[in-house]
Amino acid sequence: MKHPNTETWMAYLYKELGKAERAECDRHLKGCPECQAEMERWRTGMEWLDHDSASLVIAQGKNVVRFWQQPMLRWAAAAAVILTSGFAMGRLSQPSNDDLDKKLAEMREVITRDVQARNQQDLQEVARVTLQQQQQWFEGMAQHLSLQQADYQKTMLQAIDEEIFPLRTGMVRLAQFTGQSFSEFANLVNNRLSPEDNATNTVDKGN
Amino acid sequence: MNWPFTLTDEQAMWRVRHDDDHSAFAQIVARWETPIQRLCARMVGDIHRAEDLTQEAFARVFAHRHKYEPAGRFSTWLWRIAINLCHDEIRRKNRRPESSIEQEEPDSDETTTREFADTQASPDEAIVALERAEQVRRALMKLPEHYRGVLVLRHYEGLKFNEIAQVLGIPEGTVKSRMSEGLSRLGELLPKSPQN
Repeated sequence: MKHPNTETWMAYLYKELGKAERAECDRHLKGCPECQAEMERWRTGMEWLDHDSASLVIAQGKNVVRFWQQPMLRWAAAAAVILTSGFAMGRLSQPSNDDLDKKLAEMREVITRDVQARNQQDLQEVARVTLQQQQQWFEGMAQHLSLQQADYQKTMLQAIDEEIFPLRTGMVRLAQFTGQSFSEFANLVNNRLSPEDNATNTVDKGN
Repeated sequence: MNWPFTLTDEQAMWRVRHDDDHSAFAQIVARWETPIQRLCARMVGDIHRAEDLTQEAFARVFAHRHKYEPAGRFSTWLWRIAINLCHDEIRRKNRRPESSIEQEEPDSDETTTREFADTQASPDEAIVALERAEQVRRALMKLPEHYRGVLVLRHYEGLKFNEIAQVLGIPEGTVKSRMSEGLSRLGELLPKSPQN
């Protein structure tokens, strides 16, 4: 019996197969205990991961602000309650229609002012918090980058200590050994290393 | 500059790349901080280290903003940066056997699970959920990192096989074979069903 390959089984398991291929896999699976056992193992792993990731979604969902909890709607609801109760009180005390209209207009004005002030306050608070978060983020990043820079500097200094300092010490010792001053010895080495450049320099100086 | 409308990730990253637009960068961070932190926590098994890695990932995005290729999806680039940081971290930990991820201190285990499995269920249900989350976390940490990465990107971040292939820079067939091996090993490490 020819078994579908692993790639096909994975596409089957994650529902990324076409209808015809899927039906073929279903048919094979019914008659193949070997593939059934394999599928069972894969499904166990999948179920655990799906179960765990689903509980993660629930945990994150608890931070969602529900529609009716939004500040604007809370204030709108409060305004509606005040207006309704004001209207009901007015009806009970039987004032004239003119008085009622005037009082309602006053109340509407007070509530509108209050809601506007509150919205303004909310917006300012949101802006302040956002700005603060951004500042904290960039401070953290700046600190991180400066630490990286310090690391780099340290590495360079270490390289100087390890590579260049012993080289210079060696040259001083050689100079002492040949009985020359360090600068004479350095010139000698320099001439040996790049005689052409030094010859050109000498000609230039001569001109 | 503050933008009153929402930019797509690619638009925001374009502005970061060309204008060093901090506001656009803040939008990207706000949008991606939680998924990246979740990925890192699942990969390294330590919520505190995951926070550091997340910060490092965004610092790297900003530092390498000029290398961003607008032709590709921003998310693919970001996932790749984050997962590479996780691989580096795991390798660093494995080089120091005294603090290997298989033998973490119990405190960090608890914190990871608590942060990620906190639900509004009753206390009994919450304890069961915590235990299950801990079982999955431990089993995942026992898998080699190349299997773990594929499983986490698919199951926790919802990436398709071809997207995972792009993030990891490997053929789709390799992603599927890693997925099958990872699931098999997980199936052997865990009891039959999470519902039991």
